[in-house]
Amino acid sequence: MTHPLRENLAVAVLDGVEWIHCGKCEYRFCHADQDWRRFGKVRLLPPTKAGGLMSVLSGDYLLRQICCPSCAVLLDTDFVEEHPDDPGRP
Amino acid sequence: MAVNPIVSSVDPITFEILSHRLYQIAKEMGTALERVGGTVNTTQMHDYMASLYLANGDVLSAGDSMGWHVACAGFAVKRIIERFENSGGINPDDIFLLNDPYLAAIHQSDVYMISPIHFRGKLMCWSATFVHVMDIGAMSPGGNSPGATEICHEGIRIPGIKLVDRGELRKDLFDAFINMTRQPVMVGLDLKCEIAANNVAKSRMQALFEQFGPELVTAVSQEMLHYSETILRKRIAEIPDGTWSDSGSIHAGDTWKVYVTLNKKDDRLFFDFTGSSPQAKKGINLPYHATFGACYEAILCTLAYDLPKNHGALKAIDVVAPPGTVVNPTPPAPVSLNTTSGGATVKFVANSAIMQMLATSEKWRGEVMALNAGHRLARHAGVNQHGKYYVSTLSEGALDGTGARSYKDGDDTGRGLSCHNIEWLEANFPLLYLFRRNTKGGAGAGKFRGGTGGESALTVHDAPEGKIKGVALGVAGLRNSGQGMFGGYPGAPSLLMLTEGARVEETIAEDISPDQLAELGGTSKLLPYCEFDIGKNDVLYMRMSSGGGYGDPLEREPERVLSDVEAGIVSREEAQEIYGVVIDGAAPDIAATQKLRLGLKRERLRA
Repeated sequence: MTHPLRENLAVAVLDGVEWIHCGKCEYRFCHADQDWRRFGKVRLLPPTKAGGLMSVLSGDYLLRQICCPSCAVLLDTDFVEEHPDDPGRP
Repeated sequence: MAVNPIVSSVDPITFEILSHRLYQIAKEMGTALERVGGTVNTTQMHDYMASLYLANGDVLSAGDSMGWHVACAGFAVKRIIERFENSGGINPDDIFLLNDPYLAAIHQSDVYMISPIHFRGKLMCWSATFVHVMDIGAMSPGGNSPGATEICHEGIRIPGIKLVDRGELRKDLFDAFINMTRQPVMVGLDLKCEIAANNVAKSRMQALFEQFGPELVTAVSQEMLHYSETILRKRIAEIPDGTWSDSGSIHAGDTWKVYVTLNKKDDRLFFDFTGSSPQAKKGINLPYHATFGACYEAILCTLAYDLPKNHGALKAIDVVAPPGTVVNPTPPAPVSLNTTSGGATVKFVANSAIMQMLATSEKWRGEVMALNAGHRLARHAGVNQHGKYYVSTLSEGALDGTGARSYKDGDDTGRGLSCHNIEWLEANFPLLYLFRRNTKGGAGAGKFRGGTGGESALTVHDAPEGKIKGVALGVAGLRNSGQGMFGGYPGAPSLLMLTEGARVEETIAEDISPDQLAELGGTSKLLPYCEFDIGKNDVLYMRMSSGGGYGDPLEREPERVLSDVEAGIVSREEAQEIYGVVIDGAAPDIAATQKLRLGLKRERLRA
């Protein structure tokens, strides 16, 4: 079955197998039953790379970006905990 | 077509007329609440619900009320039927009161009034309202109690009483209820506006039965449910089967997690909150009916936004929330903070899973929007400039920015309920606003950017006691912003900050507008869930969350970025670093922009 997965990602049957591929450059990430994020290019940045008002997150969070390893289109951006095992933040 | 046996068919024109009349009656109930009520919650913030139910308690027509409130009120109607049909009786012109969160309410401050509507002696349907009353006799003024560790700390809890008996107000119960609050006059007005709204519903529905006959109205009612269910199921079936998940965090000293997995198969949706944290000894817990209602609301806002809001749209979903967790607590877990903590988080993850699902459908992917996980507000209480004790709300949370959509930017300061009028607030309470405006630099970047949230600051003015009390609540913790969608960046988080000992009076005396916080000095601290005092020359700063962006910022049209720079939403530096847009004078430099964007993409791959 061919259908979009999200902006710039799609699921398509190629050679009889369902693949998740880049909607821009058709780079094949993985089989449809796998987590495509594990096959993307990941980088972790200071929170302020998303804007000056994010400075309150510094020390607690990092800005994580996942892009296509082939054409570099950005597929996911989120804040992730810098120290995920540390509970009790205000 | 599922219709009353007496009426074998309903022509489309009659269906449209009557279904819109039912919608309008529910809306008019809301108008009655606003006209008769007097608190900021009811008249300006619109923190109320007004809707109609079938004789068995199923949702008939919800007007413009929020879906989760409508679903919870349906539970309330059914609890009243169970309690009174065999004991105490359900008679014409009765009105019942219920606010027990372990039966139907979300938290005690939402006081439901439920009224049977009879025609020629037969129970035909119900009306129901709630308003978020200004006080409920809890530990903290205003009801939301950061210090509560069990529900008994959170005020009056009524499983169901008959407040109006065959048209006669039971003044003994009425007085008992309002005298258990800090503000009996205003709470009394809250209750009376609900009685008025239910009376409006009764009057309009009885006129409708008189004009069209009860058989036809009943047939249309059943057909409305059938229509909403049929169309919604068809839409769900159009989407590929699959499973999607997300999680959210609630930070309030400790951290609690909410997990959801959405499974879509054929024409049904199954929300499973298994794995969510055990219930808290903090009022963030969300009772099951509210968790269910949050999922219902998520569907109403996405796949069913144009359908009549009724029980039909509720039949296509199942919700599992394990008992003893933050999404289905058991007594005595407290709940008073939940609408803007556990509730906001459940809504966020449920909507997030739905957005991921919609993105897989060629037909429905256009409906995807980035979501906002942030929402903070505060209550305030004390003696006002007129010498009266008061409790009220700072409803700044309504000024969150909305998330971007797949085809447009988010709305600036445009989310949720509505915000109070500053002049009205200053006339009634000892407060002085220093500013209220759009936040600069908060909107989440993207191919389409998020809406920017608002920011405001206030101080105490003309307070006889020199200070007032505040209660900070909402989605605390710093990761509470609008979430970026599909590469879009998150928006700036909301926060409440108290600055003590600022140069407010001095600055005003110098005839300078005190609108630059950094120049006012003083000592600042972020406020988690807590009570606090605001005294003379203290400043409460409230920054609302900004919406997240949608898609890769490097795909945003340079002209749009230029427009944001000119509006002060994006700085020139951010235009270059985040959007890769070079602005030369008053126009984007397209060649330089293309070169910069290529460089930024190479940088991504080097990481």
